[in-house]
Amino acid sequence: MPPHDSLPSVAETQLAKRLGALPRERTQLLPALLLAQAHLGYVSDWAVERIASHLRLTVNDVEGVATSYPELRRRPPGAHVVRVCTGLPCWTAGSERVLAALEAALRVRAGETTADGRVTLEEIACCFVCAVAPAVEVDGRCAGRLTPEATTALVAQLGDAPTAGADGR
Amino acid sequence: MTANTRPGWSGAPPAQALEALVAAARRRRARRGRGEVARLLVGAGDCCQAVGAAEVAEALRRAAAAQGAPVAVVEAGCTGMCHADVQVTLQRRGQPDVTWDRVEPAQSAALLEIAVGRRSPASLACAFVWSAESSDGLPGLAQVPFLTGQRRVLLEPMGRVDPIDIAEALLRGGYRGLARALTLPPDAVIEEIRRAGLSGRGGAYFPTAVKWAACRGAGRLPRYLVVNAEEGEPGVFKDRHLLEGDPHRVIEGLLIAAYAIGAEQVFVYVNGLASVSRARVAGALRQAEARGLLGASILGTDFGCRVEVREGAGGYVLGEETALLESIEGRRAMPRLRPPHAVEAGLWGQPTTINNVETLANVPLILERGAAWFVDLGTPHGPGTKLVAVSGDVARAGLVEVPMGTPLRHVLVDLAGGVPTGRALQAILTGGPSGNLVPADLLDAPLAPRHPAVLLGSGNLVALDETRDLLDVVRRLTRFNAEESCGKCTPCREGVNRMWEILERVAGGGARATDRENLGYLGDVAAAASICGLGKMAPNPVHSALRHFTLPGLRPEG
Repeated sequence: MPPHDSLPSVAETQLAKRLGALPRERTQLLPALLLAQAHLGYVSDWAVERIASHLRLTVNDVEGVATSYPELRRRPPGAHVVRVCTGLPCWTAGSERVLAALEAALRVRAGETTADGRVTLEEIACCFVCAVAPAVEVDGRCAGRLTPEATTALVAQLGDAPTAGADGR
Repeated sequence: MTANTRPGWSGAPPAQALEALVAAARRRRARRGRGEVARLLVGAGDCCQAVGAAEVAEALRRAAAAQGAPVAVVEAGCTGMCHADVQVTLQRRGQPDVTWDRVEPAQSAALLEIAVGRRSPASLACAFVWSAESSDGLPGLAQVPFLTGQRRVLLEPMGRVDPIDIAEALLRGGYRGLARALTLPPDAVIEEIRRAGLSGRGGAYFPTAVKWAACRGAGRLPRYLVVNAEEGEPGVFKDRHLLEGDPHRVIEGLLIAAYAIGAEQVFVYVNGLASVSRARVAGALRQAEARGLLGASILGTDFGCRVEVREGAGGYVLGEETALLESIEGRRAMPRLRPPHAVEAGLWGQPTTINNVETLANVPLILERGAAWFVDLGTPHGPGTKLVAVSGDVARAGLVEVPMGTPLRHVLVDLAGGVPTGRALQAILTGGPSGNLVPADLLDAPLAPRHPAVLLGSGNLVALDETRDLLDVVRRLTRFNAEESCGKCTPCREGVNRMWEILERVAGGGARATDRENLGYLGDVAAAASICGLGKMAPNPVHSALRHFTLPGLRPEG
């Protein structure tokens, strides 16, 4: 793991303050990792070290837990995260066409980030809004009853900067 | 509290303490309601927000401000009629509620005019009135088959109450079950639940009273209660609806459970994607605490209980109860070997009860109305009602509540309206991604815990019409189960992955004569030897499909 060789960012400073307020008990590990992701958009190496030291755990221990939850990211995603639900109800409502349209429009495959870093496109197993299928989650917010056209329009209007308030999950 | 006696109190008994809270709520309501002629409730659960509920609520607020209308706009839960989202419900004193379907922000000015009485409700299309008969030129419930065919008990207030407002919860009878429970010794509370025959609505249908009694009987302190709101099965959204639309009922249920087992610490573990649920539970908890319904000396008794909300981070296995415990302890979400069971050695080795949200939502009503009432709600297949999430190829998708043991046909055809395209129904996936594919000729089977073909699970149905490729369906479901395997035990980690490999190859046209036999064998081993339910159930879609359907490439002769 490379050392943290620059000054902490504003987000890191805020995160450090929140982490410091957590009780120094192992039960706070998942809450701490979620805090890190909410502040930074992902769980950075710096965050892993910081959490390990605060909760008195080894870095390996924290790493093991951080990589076992599907919703936690260990690498920074693009400025926007778009996740197409491909669960069975959404599949019956045409999610394959929605995903194909996005892959074509963004020129990436599911699981990849556009070359300019603007959008990370992924599949998601379920958004739990199955009765308004098909659903796509954009920066943590679900949209339902989508068509391929409506979805590509939705994604096209996303700016270059991360959406305010989005936590990148 | 270890002795099996009711809690002590120094002042008034719990029922009187509750009455004082209700009276205060009534006074507050009268003060605040002065001048308010009506209110508009916007269905704003996760499902509703995905189709613009926040925008509708915002437009209504702006219109109310612009017109200077004395109308409150409230963000409520979803009625379960997700197919009709966004719904807006008008409440006026002395008149039945009126609900509009598929509301757009552009209709907000018209809705406000109706709310203040300048325009008739019938002048805006797509409405119905919550009374049996039609009134004001609006269709009544008799013309809303999705609702009339249900037995709505838990869902009754959904979309028609302010979910977080405890004053409102108290005024409609909330926390009365808790007040009664606190006048009984814990064993008597457990006995009431035993007579009701309540069983776990997370999918295992284990008798709730047996679990509680074992946890209490384990003796050691502290004991813990964990509320499993980690609903992470694709296609299931029932617990979300309960937490979004009526969190106080769940809070009351968990307090009764905590009292019965003797737990003073409760963890409510909410799915990481269920942000609306989490926010509403947290809001409702704050209000309950402010009224002395939480924390030390609840309703003036010496029973105290703290509740902490935890957030998940995905993973189907997390809903497995011992994996959930590992997660709370700060470890990877992997199931534990049993025995010991959680009731003997759960969180930090202490006796722990893990209950599903829907299970706990039933508890207050059983305490308030009695075990016999609950038994009568059900059928010979089981007591009480069951929430069922319906999606896929149906005309009216959403969440319904029906008596336990209701035939599949009633839910899929009468309530959900059957396949909308005029195509024939081919199969129904019941019980989530590791459930069964049920052929259409079993439509008269009951939705009941122990039915051999229909796996009720936590309560979900995905309808598949005749055009759906079932080999593709089982391949997708098996991929999900393989990817969600936590990797702890070999039968699940290796076996389900080999099943997925075979299905991928068959789907690609490379079927071999031995495939059918191998799918059967691998599945049997996973079902018999996996540590937890994920592995044990993972072969279900494949096995049920092979039993009931002919899949290309996997014919019986090979």
